[in-house]
Amino acid sequence: MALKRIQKELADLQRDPPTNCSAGPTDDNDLYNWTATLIGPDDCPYQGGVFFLNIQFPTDYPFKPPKVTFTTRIYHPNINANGGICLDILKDQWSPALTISKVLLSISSLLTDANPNDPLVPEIAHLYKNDRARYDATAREWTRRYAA
Amino acid sequence: MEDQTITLTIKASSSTEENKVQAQLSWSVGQLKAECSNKMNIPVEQIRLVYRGKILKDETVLKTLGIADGHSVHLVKSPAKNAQSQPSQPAQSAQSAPASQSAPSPSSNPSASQPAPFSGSPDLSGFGGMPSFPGMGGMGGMGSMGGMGGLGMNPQMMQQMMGDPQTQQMLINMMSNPQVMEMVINSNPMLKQMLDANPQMREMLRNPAMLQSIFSMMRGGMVPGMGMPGMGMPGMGMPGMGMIGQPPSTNPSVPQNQPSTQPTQTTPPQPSQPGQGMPGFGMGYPYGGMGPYGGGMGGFGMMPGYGAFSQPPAPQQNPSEVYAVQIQQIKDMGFYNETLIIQALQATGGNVEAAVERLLSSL
Repeated sequence: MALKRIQKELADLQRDPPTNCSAGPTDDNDLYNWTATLIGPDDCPYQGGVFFLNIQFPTDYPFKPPKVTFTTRIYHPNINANGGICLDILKDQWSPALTISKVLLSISSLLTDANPNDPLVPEIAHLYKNDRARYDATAREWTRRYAA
Repeated sequence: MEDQTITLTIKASSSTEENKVQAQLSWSVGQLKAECSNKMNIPVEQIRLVYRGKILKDETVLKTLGIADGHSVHLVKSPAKNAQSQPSQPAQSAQSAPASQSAPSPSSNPSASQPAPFSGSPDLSGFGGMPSFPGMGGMGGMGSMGGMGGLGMNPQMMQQMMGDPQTQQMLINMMSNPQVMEMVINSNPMLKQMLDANPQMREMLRNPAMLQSIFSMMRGGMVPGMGMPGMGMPGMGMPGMGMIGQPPSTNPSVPQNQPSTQPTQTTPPQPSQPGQGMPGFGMGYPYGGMGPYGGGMGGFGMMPGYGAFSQPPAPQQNPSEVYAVQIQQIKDMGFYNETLIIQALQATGGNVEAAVERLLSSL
């Protein structure tokens, strides 16, 4: 069941992926382990960056959410140093109707619009709320450094 | 296997329009890039292609990617090199300029050239200028750290080292060779100056027998406060004390030649004031107290030797001033807690990158 669904998602992603996201199995022999690429959306400090993510599907996918983590360092209030992402649909708001494509789109929009009220990294959230210019500059700098 | 023409959809990150590109399965990624470059008018060196979540390498052949007709490939346009003007994206270049200015450049703070930050902490390496002589290393740091104590070792380590026959042999060889001692002395301007002002001391350093006896005392775990009657150098302290009670160095790998950089903060040696050292307490291994603190040590009387170590040479050096540049850099990265920043910097020897790493991991 899980495998079939994953294969279908892969086929869809190869044909018509979202503008900023690309994903596929890290190793063709293991469909449960994917690598994804997020291209920093325009109009945000991550613009031009290429961010890698790791996706692990549980064996009972899609009834359980995939585990998605950034492997590229990113300066973001909802993404911590280990690449952990604070996103409701990856946790309690997961629905089997969601797909990797939608998850990646959500993460992509999280880059454009961070959610500083539910931060994973309070220091960054604090800066985001109180000194947006500095936050932008720092995020740009990190993007240049780690994701260029 | 005949070649097969496929049509790929190229999705460029910076535009919403999609481009269809005809490609051959036998092409390499490099060829595909060239085709995209023609079609989309982007310099080929600025093109990165992403498929199935991976950045494609130029030499990869398309066929091996499992790519097929109708598939989509993402195109990421790297920012142009600074030298190139890029009229089409003025905003981007304007943004990147300030960012690169504020970039903490590791090369601007080579830790080896930053002696001051460490001067306040007793756990700093005093390996000084002579890292190749493990036993003697302390001499380099003598001025500020009190000789051997400056090695930043904890007592166990020191004991272990001293118990190691090889080290012992080396030390003995070294100490019994006046030339080596001379070299050590000459390599350290501060020490030399001090010895010049204090011939007695020089005599002692040059006397292999004396050094060896001192050394064997040290090896034997001589405790602070033990005197060496007859030496007539009451103002001197013991390196052993420096070791005792010193926390293990968190940064033993940063060689620093401290003495030469802080001549102004030191007390002139006053070995000729017999009353000061309370003979029987204050005397000891020459390396320890020999430093500029010899004088100050005497004043401590009952705590011989500690005077040399527990008085960091630069208490007036505020870490927030010493690390001002680095702190600002880290603050620019969005960290606010100066205390934590300073802690991280101290722990990493002023290395911004390492400090940030540390700060992040503690978040």
